[in-house]
Amino acid sequence: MALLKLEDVVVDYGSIHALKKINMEVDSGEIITLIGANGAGKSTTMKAIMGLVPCKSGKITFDGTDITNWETKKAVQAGIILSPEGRQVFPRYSVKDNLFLGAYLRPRQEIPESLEMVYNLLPKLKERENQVAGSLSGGEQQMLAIGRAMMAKPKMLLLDEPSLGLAPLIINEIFGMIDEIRTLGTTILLVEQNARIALKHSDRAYVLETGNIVLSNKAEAMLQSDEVQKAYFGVL
Amino acid sequence: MLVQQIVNGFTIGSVYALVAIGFTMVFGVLELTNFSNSSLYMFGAYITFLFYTATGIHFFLAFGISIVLTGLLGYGIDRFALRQLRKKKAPKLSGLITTLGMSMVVDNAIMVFFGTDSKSFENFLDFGKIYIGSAVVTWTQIIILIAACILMITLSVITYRMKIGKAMGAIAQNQDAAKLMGIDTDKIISLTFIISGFLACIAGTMVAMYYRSIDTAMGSSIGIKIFAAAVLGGVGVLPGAVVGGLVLGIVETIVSAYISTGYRDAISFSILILVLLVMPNGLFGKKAINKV
Repeated sequence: MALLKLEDVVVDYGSIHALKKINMEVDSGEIITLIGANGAGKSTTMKAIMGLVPCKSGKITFDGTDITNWETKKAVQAGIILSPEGRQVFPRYSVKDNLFLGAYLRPRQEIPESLEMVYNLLPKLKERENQVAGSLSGGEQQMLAIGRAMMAKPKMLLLDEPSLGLAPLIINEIFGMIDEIRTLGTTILLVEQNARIALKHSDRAYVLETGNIVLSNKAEAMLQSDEVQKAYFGVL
Repeated sequence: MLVQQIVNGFTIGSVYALVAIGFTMVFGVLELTNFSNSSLYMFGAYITFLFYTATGIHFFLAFGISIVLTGLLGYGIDRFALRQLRKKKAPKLSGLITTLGMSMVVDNAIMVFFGTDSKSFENFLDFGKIYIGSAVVTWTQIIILIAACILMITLSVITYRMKIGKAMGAIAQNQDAAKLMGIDTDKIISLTFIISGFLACIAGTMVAMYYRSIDTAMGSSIGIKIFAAAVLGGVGVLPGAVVGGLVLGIVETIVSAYISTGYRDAISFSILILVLLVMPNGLFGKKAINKV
């Protein structure tokens, strides 16, 4: 059974139709990528799942429960965590405080264990735990954003453009980390513009174009597909 | 003489600081200049007065009721006006004008209900005075100072040591990201308004006892001062509000005593302008630059 399911989800921003009846499914343990150009509706999909933007119609279910238009807090409680586009760490707080805020809804006694798990996953964060987040480099901030999301012990992790503005070497590091997170039993939904690397690390993918899902397939098959190559890899 | 003025300045300054803390907390969380804060201060004093004189209950019970009601008024202003604006993603200026409007509604309601003449207010903190050298310190002053200190310490602990304070700071830095942490942002914002109401009421009632009177100009006269105190210390920063309030109180009393009461506000605001010219973010303010 699908862990997360979107059925005919419609989101409007005023007169702009951001999502036009999209359908998708994420199974437990998968890494799914949502690729598409700017303005295709990728981030909107994430926000709709998190209850940050209202769905006009359609249905979102998580783990069998209808979560359509839930408050963000409830979605977080249910185990869906979004690491937002542009990282959005709390710049004036230390790395450690950022991580603690990630575990905001969790019982105090479980926090040290999660902190250790995150520090094992991202040893660099431990080195900088007392540094203010705003002073970290872009790559470190991205790692902090992911670490902060992991502090919530997500069943499902949504990652919005984790490679944005990062150097190729750092991007590889981030995706290595994403693979590692999957082995911890977390299901991942990834939004990426960097389609090639995202597909290499995913099981399946959906292609979003101006609010419609135009293609869905196994990631390997998509990597081979001429259509996808032309549209998203810049291959002529 | 100087010691005496400093004691007097500290007393009134600590009251400014209390109200300024409420103001600066709201600003810190929402980047909203809450003009209705001074109305809460006046409302608090008048409601204490009302419950005490009209019902004949014990003064401190009336004070307690008033603290609760003023907190509720603070909550109401946010819940029924400002939250609606936030939901609609209204520009910050709309919120600011709304608080100004709320302030007028509250101020005028008080005038209609109580009349514009000043009313005498009993001092329940009058336990005599003590002499320190040539200076006279009344117990009222000592109690006001102690109460203000306790409140300031409590609020610092809440803001800088407790989870709820971290949540307030998170909302201040990035409201959407705070929501993604599972923080109930509306609840935390409401709480901030309630605290600012509590503080305003406590300060207003203590000043009413100190001066033994209340009048309908008390709100507007303190409004500009808490604004100045918060800006002087660095708006949004708790210790800034405390130091700003104390500095303003002391400067004011000393100028009144040694120069002239007429120049009091002119000189204290000149000092404010000078400080801001040298330190644009105030004494404790953080630089606005954030690497994102």
